[in-house]
Amino acid sequence: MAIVRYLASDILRSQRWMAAFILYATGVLLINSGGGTLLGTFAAYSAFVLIGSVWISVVALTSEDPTQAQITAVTVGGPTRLRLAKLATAGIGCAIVVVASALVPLALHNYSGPTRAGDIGEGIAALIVTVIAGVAIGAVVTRPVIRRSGWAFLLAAVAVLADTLVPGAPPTRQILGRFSADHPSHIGPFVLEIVVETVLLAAVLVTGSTIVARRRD
Amino acid sequence: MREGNDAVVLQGVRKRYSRRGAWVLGGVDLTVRRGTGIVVVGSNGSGKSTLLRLVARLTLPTAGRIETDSQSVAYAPERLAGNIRMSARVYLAHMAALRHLEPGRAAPRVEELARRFALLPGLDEPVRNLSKGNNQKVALMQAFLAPVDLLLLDEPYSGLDTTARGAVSELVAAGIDAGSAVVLSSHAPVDVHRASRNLHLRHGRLEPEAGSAADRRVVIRLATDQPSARAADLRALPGVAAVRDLADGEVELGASPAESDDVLRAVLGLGWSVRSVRSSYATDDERRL
Repeated sequence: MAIVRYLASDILRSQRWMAAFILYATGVLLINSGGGTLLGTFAAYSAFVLIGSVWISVVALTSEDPTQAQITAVTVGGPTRLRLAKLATAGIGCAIVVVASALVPLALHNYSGPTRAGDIGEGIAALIVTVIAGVAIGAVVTRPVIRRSGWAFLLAAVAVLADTLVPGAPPTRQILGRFSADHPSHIGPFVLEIVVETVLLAAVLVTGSTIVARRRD
Repeated sequence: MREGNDAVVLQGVRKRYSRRGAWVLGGVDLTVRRGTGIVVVGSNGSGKSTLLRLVARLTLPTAGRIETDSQSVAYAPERLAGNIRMSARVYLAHMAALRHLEPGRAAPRVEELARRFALLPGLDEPVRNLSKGNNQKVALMQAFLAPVDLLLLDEPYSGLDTTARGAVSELVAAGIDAGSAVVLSSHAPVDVHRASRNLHLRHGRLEPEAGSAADRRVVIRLATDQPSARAADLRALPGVAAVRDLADGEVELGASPAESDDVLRAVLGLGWSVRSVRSSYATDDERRL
């Protein structure tokens, strides 16, 4: 995919991803000084993955200068195609974070209780679904949907806080609540439910923001 | 309605950027055929860039329709971004890959374009470090990496040195010969190809035929030291569209390009000496006549 290679190359040179990396690394330090079960550890990771994925998607969508983006958009067949390519690039970047978030807890083994394959699978599913939510939030809080960067930053912060703190908010608050319970039960059906819920919500947000962005170009 | 050889058709296209804002374009009708060129001539703020961005589908019309079946489109804006961190070589290699140009063909093409545009200090300099003119050259070079169905250039001649201007003219002409439809904007009429025409964008509308082939003039400046040579005789010559008296007894006449050779022979026969010959366009007064 030539467009993903180009966008990734541009983003890596921008170094704007570094802040997200530092935040994520700080999160890893905090989580691994705690303890708790493997599922609880994955839940804590998902909160930091949410912040990281919002950041990465915002960087992916805004890394190109507007004039540079116009050239790229015409070259790849239009602004909508470019926007979707940028979201796909963000998704690939977030996939690296998911892999790291799945491997680091297992490698450090700073959790109590047994290591069950089911817990690992459910933990990875939770991380993936959090990334989907993060990228969808990022799609909404960037130009040209939100034109002023100050408002965009504020809205992103509110969305992340709401998803992490408001009771029942999908997916992060729900994952934190279920995975961190003393005796989590029916995790499998819950994960399936939250995956479907988040994918549908993300599809609405990405589609809506893409339509608004096209009208505001 | 778009026909077989039409690359782009605009019908009644109107554009304004806010609900209560002024109309930038107030109803543009335009057909661009394959293997032809359109030069959109207009002053600053006349809506040239908006028109090109509409044709490029970068922005949507407020009203009207734009139809195109162009599969490959290249667009060079008036200015390139100032903060591209890649070197010109890396940036152009990526753009070539987006145009499905194989690396084996892309690298020599990038080198060739850098030579033709006289890119300084060179391809390995980060684009953000290039001067304004060289930055603009990179913006134009990416548009000429591979043949395209539709080529859109926003003021490609402004701010460029002579070498680069020559390169743009050659590449645009080659593109039209190869079957591309070309739309470019300019402050003044430009003769890019025999199959090109100039259209003036005034008050949000394109005025057809202004600056077209029919309006082209060869302007000949003449002087004489022979008492028998009279300006009145020049007006009677076939092919002479206008005669204007200048200071110091010199005169300037406008002739259609097709008859300019005959006019030159005739004025020499009448005892006039040629001081200069240049290409221009009919004035509004001549056009009314």
